[in-house]
Amino acid sequence: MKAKKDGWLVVLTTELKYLWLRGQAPLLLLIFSLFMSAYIILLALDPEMNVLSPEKMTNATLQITILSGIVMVVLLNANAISGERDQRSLESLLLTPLPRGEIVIGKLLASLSIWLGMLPISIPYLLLVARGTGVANQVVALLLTTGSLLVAISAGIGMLISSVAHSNLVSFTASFATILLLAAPNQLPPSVKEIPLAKFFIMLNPITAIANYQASILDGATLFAEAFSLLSPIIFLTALALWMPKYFNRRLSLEGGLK
Amino acid sequence: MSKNTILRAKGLSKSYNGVEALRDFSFEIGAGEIVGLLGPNGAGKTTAMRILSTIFPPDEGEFWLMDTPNMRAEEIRAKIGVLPESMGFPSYMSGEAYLSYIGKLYGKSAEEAKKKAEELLALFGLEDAGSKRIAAYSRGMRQRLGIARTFVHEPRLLLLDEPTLGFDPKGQREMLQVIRDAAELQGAAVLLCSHLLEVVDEICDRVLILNKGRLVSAGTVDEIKAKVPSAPICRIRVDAGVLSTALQTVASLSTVEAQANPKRDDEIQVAIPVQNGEATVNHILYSLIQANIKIESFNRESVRLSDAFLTMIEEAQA
Repeated sequence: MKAKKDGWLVVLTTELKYLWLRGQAPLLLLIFSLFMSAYIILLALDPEMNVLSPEKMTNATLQITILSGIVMVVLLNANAISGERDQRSLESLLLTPLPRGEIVIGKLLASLSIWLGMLPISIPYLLLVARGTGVANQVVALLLTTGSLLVAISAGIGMLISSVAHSNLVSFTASFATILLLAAPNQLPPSVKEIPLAKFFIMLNPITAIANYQASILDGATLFAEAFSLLSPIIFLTALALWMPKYFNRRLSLEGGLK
Repeated sequence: MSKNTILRAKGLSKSYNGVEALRDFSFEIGAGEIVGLLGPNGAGKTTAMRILSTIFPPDEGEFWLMDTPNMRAEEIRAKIGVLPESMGFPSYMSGEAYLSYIGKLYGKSAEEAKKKAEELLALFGLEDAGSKRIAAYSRGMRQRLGIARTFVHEPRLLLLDEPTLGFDPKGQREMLQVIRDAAELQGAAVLLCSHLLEVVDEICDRVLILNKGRLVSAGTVDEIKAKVPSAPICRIRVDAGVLSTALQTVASLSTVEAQANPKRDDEIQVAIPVQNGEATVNHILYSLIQANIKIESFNRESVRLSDAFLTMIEEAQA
C-alpha cells in the first residue's frame, strides 16, 4: 500500500477539524476579540488615554493586530510537533508512509487558518481607528499583505523550532525569543537606523523590513513605491516554503534535540 | 535471500552519544514466522525495533523488507505495522476517528478507512468504545487500539513491542490468537518483543536473544532450551510414611540424582538426565511400582524458556 499523494491534505483537514471543532481556535478568536474591544474602547477611542496622533494610533493598532496573529500562530505551531512529542503520539504519525514534510505542511497550513479567522474581526476595528486619517485603505491593504507575510514567516519559524524542540515549553520559549530577537532592531533610535550598515541589515531582516515598509506607507509613501522593501521577506518566505518540506523529510525525528 | 524471506537484516549497528546500543545485528524472518526478540533492559531491543521501523537510520548495516532496502523508508513504512513501546495517541480523537485518520494516511479513501476502522474496532473488542474519546480509554483499551492500528493496511511485517502489556489473561489469549492468525492466515512475518517469556514460549517459532546490543543466541524455542545444561526435574508424591523407601528406591538407580523436597514430607525431586530422559523416567516409575510404592502424583517440569534465557544472559555477562 502506498501513501496518499495528497497526504498533507489529509493532515490539514484533520487538523482543521480538531482545531476549529474542539473549540481551540474559536476560543483564541474570542480572546482576541475581547482584547481588541478593550483596547479600542479604553485606549484608541478615549481622547484622555490616547496621547498618539490618529495616524500613529492607526499604525499602533495595525502592529498590535499583526502581533496578536504572530502570537497565535506561533502558539499553535510551537504545539504542532513538540505537542505531539509531549503526548508521545508523534511516533504514530512518523510510522505512516507519508513523507514527513507533508505532515508538517498540513499542520502548518492548519495553524494559519487562525489568521484567516482574525482578519474579519480585525478589519472593522482598524477602519474604526483609521476614521478621518485618510489611510484607512492603506492600513487594510497592509494588514492583508504585510500582516499575512509576517504571520506566515513567524509560523514557519515556530514550526522549525517545534520540530527540534524536546518539549512544548522549550518550543514556545525559543519561538518567541527568536521572533523578539528578529524584531528587536525596530526599537533602535531613528539616528542609528539611518546608518547605511544598519539600514542594510534592517532591509535584510524580514521582520524589520516589513515594519519599515509599513511605517513608510502610513507616512504617505505609495504601496508600490516602497515595494522593494518587501523583497527580503518575500525571498525569505519563498526559501522557507521550498526548503522546509525537504528539511523535514530528512530531519524530523522522534526526539527533539533542543532541550 | 530465500523466496519466502520477508525481512533480512545485515550488520545493523547504532550508537547514541558514543554508547553502543546495537552491534552487528543480523537475522532473517520468513513469511508466516513469529520471532521473539528477547533481552534484558538496555539490550538493544527497542533500538532494533526503531531501526527496522525506519524511525532511526542505522549507523552501519542495512536491511531489506522483501526487495525494498531500508533507504526507501517510505516504501518500508507502507508495508509494516508497528506497535511501539508505550505509544501515545491524540487523546482528543475517538478510536474510530483515529483509525480512519491513520487509514487515510496509508492511502485509503475516506469510506475505505472508515470501514476498515469499524472492522478493526470489532476485531479488537472496541466496537462499543469506537465513538468515545481516546482520553477515556483504559490502558488495555489503548493497547488494543495500538495493535488495531498496526493492521490498518494489511502489513507484511509486524513489529510488536510488548503486545500483551496491560491485558488480563483472557485478553492476552485473544491477542495472541490475532497475532497467530496474522502470521498463519495472512502470511505476515512477526517480530515480537516481550518480557513475558511464557508468551514468547507459547507463540514464537524462533527466538533471538540480545545482550548489550549483541546477538548472543538464536534458534527455535526448543533449540534455545536445549542449550541450557540443567536437567529437567520430576516431582513424585507418595505417602509420607513410605518417603524414605521411595527415596532409596529412586536413588539406587545410578543414572539419576534424587532428594526429598525440603518443603514437603511426601515428595521427592529427581533430576532427569537430558540423554535418554524418557527411558529414565519410565525406569523410575517402574522401580517404584515394583517396590509396591503407591504414586500419589507425578509431575515433570520441562526446562522453561525463562531458565534458558537467564542462563544465557548470565553467561554472556560473565
